[in-house]
Amino acid sequence: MANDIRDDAIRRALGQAVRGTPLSLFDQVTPQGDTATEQFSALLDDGSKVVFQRRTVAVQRTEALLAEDGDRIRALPDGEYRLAEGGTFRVVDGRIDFDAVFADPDGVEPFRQYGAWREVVAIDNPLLSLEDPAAVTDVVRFLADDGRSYYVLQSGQRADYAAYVVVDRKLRRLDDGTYPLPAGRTFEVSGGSVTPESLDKVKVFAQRSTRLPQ
Amino acid sequence: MKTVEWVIKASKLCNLRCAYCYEWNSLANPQRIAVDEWRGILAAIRDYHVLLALQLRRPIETRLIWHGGEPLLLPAAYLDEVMAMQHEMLAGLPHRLLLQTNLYRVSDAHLDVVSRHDVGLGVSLDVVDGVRLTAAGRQTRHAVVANMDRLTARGVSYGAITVAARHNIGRLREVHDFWARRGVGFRVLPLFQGPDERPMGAFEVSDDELAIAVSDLFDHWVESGTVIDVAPLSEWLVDVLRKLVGLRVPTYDRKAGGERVLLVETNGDLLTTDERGVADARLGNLFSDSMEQILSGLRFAASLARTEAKTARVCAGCPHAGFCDGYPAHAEPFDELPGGRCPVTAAVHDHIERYLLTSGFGPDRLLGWLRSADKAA
Repeated sequence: MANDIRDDAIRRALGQAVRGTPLSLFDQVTPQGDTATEQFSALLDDGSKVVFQRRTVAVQRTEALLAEDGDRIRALPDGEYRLAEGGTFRVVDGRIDFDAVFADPDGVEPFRQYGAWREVVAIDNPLLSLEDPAAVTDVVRFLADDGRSYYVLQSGQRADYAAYVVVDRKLRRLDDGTYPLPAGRTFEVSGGSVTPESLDKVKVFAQRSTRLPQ
Repeated sequence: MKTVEWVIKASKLCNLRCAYCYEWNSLANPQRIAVDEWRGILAAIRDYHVLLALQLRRPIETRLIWHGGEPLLLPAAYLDEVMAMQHEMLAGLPHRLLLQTNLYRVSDAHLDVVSRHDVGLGVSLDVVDGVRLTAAGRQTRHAVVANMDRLTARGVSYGAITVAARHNIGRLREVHDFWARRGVGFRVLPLFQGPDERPMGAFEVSDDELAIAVSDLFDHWVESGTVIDVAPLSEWLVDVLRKLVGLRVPTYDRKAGGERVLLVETNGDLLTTDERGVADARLGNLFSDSMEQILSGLRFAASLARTEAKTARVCAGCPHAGFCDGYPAHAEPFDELPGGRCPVTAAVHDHIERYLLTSGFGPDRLLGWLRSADKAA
């Protein structure tokens, strides 16, 4: 009994130590401030509700959870699912299997049709195309006025920020030049890095664009 | 959310004469910060809040901590006026008012002011008699406990600070149980330095003795199920757990991350807490300097350099560096020894690590918990 009490105490402290993010297990990834959690939901064709919960530290991931009565949620069991609106997805080892999403036999990208899903697809996958995503220490992402998804990344606490655009679900590094931000603004890349003046603008104005659709 | 605490010495006047008080020579001084002077302090606090939030690009919380002396000796009308001004000048910015009190004598009028301005109270009580005496030399514990009961009856919640020194280090388990029975979390504050001008024999205790006593308190706290928060043990436990699962945190860095705690003296001098009382170390004076002037001044730059050098001296070679953020080296003044680590803090970190490893909380088990928690999520 005394051991149970102690186990619970240590377990609670451990939860606080890692702030709920499995990515925190990578010692290269350092949480920046509080973990932000965003969440949205969709209905399955059997009428049950799935909650998609995104935890943001440096790198993001999305989990699918089954909404039960009240505020309770539980892990969505592995398997194939079909949304009430028609799209399908698969959960493997508790995570959404994006390969399955993109390997739709009809060549359709069903998730892009649904506002929130478009964000999931646009946001969660591209970082994994980096050689070492776990080295990333800060991420700013936004949809610019040209309709493309941009990432500004820092890999290492004191490193410069590099800019990328998502092409075919992979990050392609931007050459020196001027690129669009939301609301008619622009940012500069010089010497391979986002200039300090531009970084301020990116950090301020990207926030507005990364909110999930209501 | 990142917090910036401003410990403000509204007045040094105090009705107690705690033997270890580092303000001993000033405790009879009735001087207090004038209302107009508060305006300058609050303007600086507001400016710093905005500057830092812009620098960090995220919201922060400012905490104003009334400190002394005994703040509740100040007239209720004065507290009322200044607290209203504090809320007014920080309107729109996330902020909290806090007040550290010995709670020996407190009027209903004062408690009304505290409630009206939503001020969080911290009560200083060592639980064990012997050191916290009135100016006439009488014990204070019974009166303070009676006043805590008044707070409870009024529905006012509060936190607590217990100084660990000679008089109570053998009874810290009892101290824990006292606060646990009341459901009040507390901070145990190991006494690193007493007043220079007083004999310290009655309460002085070595760092080794403190480390042993606080380590024993840790065992008791964990084995009781951590039913109340005991700072800084809860923070140190998290540091060690991070070490065991390999999760690093950014090092305390005033330049990049801003200040964590600043001290405002009754004369307006601004200091870091580990350089309190060192006139040459002041960053500026809030009665005469704006925050912008202070932040761009040579004194501030020199202070940042001293902090960085101290981190390098104290944390270099510490096995907990990178998992502990290094702030314990800067929280309180202490006598540095060549090649030495933080007094008490480092040794208790060592103890917590040994305790966890020998109790079966090794990396494999902790990581296993995390993986199962990950799936359960």
